[in-house]
Amino acid sequence: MGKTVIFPFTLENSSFCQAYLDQDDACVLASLSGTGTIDQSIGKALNRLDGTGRIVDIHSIDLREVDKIILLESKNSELYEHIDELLVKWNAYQIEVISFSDKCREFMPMAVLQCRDFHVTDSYHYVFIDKPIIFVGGIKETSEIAWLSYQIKKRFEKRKLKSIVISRYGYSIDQECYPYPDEFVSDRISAEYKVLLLNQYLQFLIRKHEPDVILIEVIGGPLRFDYHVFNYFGVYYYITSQAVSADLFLCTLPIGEYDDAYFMKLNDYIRHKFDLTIDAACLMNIKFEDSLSVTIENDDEYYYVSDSILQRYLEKNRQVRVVPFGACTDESYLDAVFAAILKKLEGAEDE
Amino acid sequence: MQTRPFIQLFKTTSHYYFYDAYVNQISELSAAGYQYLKEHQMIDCFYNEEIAQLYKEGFLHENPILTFQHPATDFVEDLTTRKAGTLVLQITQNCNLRCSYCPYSQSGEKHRHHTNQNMSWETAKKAVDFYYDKSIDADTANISFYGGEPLLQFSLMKAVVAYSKKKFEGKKCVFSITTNATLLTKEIADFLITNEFRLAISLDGDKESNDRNRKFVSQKGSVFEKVIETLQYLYENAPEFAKKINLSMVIDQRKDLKGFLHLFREYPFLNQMQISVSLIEDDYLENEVRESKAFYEEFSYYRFLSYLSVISPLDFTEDLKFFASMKESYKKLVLPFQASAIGKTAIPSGQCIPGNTKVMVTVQGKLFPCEKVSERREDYCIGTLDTGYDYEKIKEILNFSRYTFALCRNCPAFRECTLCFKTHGAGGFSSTATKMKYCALCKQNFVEDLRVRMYFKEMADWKGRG
Repeated sequence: MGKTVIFPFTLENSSFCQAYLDQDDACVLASLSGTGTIDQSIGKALNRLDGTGRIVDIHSIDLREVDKIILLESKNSELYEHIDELLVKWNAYQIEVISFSDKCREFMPMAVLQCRDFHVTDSYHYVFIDKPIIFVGGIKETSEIAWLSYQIKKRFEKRKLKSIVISRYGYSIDQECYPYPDEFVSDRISAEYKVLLLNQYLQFLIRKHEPDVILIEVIGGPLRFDYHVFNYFGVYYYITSQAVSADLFLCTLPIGEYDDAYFMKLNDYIRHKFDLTIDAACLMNIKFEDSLSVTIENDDEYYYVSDSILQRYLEKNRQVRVVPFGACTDESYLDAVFAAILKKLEGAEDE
Repeated sequence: MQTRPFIQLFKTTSHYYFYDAYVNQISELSAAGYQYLKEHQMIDCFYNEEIAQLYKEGFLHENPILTFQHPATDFVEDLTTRKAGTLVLQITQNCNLRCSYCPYSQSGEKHRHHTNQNMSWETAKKAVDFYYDKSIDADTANISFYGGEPLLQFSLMKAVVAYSKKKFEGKKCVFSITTNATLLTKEIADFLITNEFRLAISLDGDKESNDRNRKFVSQKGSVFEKVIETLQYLYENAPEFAKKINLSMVIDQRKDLKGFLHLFREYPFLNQMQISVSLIEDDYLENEVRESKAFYEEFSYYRFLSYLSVISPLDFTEDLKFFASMKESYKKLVLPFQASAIGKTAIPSGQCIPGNTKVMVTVQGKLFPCEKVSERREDYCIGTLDTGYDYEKIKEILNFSRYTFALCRNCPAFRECTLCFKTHGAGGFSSTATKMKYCALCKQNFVEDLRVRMYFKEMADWKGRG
């Protein structure tokens, strides 16, 4: 049996790629040499500790050994500059290409995404969802919320509990990770319709897959606009919290100094706006660049800092008591967060 | 209770104000309040109702700053090894012009001189590899060619572009060049257009103004005629490309502005291009450059017109294209300051992050934060291609304000400071004479901007009253 190749690996879709690698350690992650990720593990590429597996140059792969290529989407269009030639080459080797890009449909039969069976059927049909819902988000939106949701999903799977994820950053039917419905992040439909759209989408996924729990990677961030944070003005937090009530909210944070007063103020704000409180705060090894622009764009620039910086800031923040606070790379912290999640969900069931 | 406020007093023709640097806000004052604050460095927080109310609202508090530390100091290694900004390649130290104000054309020892040294292919390749290794978190590779006159090394440029495109496969490569455009042949123009170069072309006004200071080495022929011919060619053959050209114009503040204004009337197609304007900087010149009365009056008049074009429907763009960049910068003056308190650790704004914002590689493979600093100063050199970055030097540059701590700490322009370490000039960090000159100008502009902000606001209030 041949290998599966995932292309292109990017830092954005790293959690999706990690999920695949965990399930299939023969899977090959590929990218283009200019990205700077070649010959690194996912961990190293994210400036974390080294791990298994190495990202390879797509041009260096022996296609005779490949059965399947999963073609991911990325907003970096440069990664697809020679995609036509690659597709022709892969076709010549009769490699199955699974893609979310329309372009590939010209060349080979595609796996139809189950979520594309979804259509909004009744504009006014809203249901209170009775499945456990976990919001996974960030003070500022980054692809690391996908990392956190994957860590939690992994733990659910170990406990033989079925979880599905709704994500903007990486999706795969195999991994039970679904994109948001078409039009959800667009300016073509109203906010009210988006609430209904998401609510009905959740109903659809629950009917089809009967999960034990649903993780929703919330778009944007909860904070109001300031000149350094766009976050869609918190609109998607509002829409999502209207579409479904969350039982838990796991929040990622960029590198910075936090204290109890900060979290208390933040919790007051999000409780009032979205009926949420932070159940776990996860410090990521991400630092945002200070924005010098006052224009409204969702292109917050960030970079990955080293583990030594992460540890230093964990130490600086050790006085935080009001919320469970730890590092994204700390497995024991993630285990403790998961244990708390289970306890809360079990407590909710008993009620 | 006594306090020493961290403020800047200023007034318009009809109102009195102060800017509070601690909270980054402006407040209006009565004439009596203004007088009190003007006469007392140390004030009584409850002197009268007005002062007490301001103090209660958070104004007039003491400056809390105890130390200077740039916020990027802790992160500089990750910033420079994962998010390198623009790579500037000094591909030659030679130039076919001898502009009178060019630092490299001077006879003194403040800066390097023009030489015949060119970057080798090995050094250029090493520089691109160095940059590649340090940009995993950057979405785009920005490579800029500099000199001397970089077109003297066009073949090296071509090789670097070809190598970079291959090296950065999967990332967007953006190339740019700062050139005098006198060597721009059709072949070179086609290359630049094909590779979507961003051009910065130097042009200092009409023929008389430009050729006054910009001359060929041979001292024969008109630089202006050559450049305008090139610009016309580009505009006629690739108008969309030409519209993105940045005309870099150095105003000789010893003369008037007629030459600049005349240029845009005589060649209206130049209005389609981007324009950036600067004055002659005399840091590296032997003699000081003083602005003439005529320049000051004309410049002030056009600056006034720029202000008007920000706040009124009057359109001065025809005459003001030349001042378009100034007008853009004045637009921020209608926005309020964002309120925030300064902490005990802070640093004046203005300094970029060497290696993250930009890194310049010289022909010898030395690394400098940018092309504007003296290459003779070892304390400005932040490493080499062979040895990598010297982080102690980078951190020293980031925190260069520590050399003038006492002065900078108490300056109300703290948050609006535009000075970077290059203002220390040829004398290095221990020399502050050049910096003080820039500092005085920066403060003057800061206070002027405060005044203009309030003029804008007063006019808006006046309009609101009908």
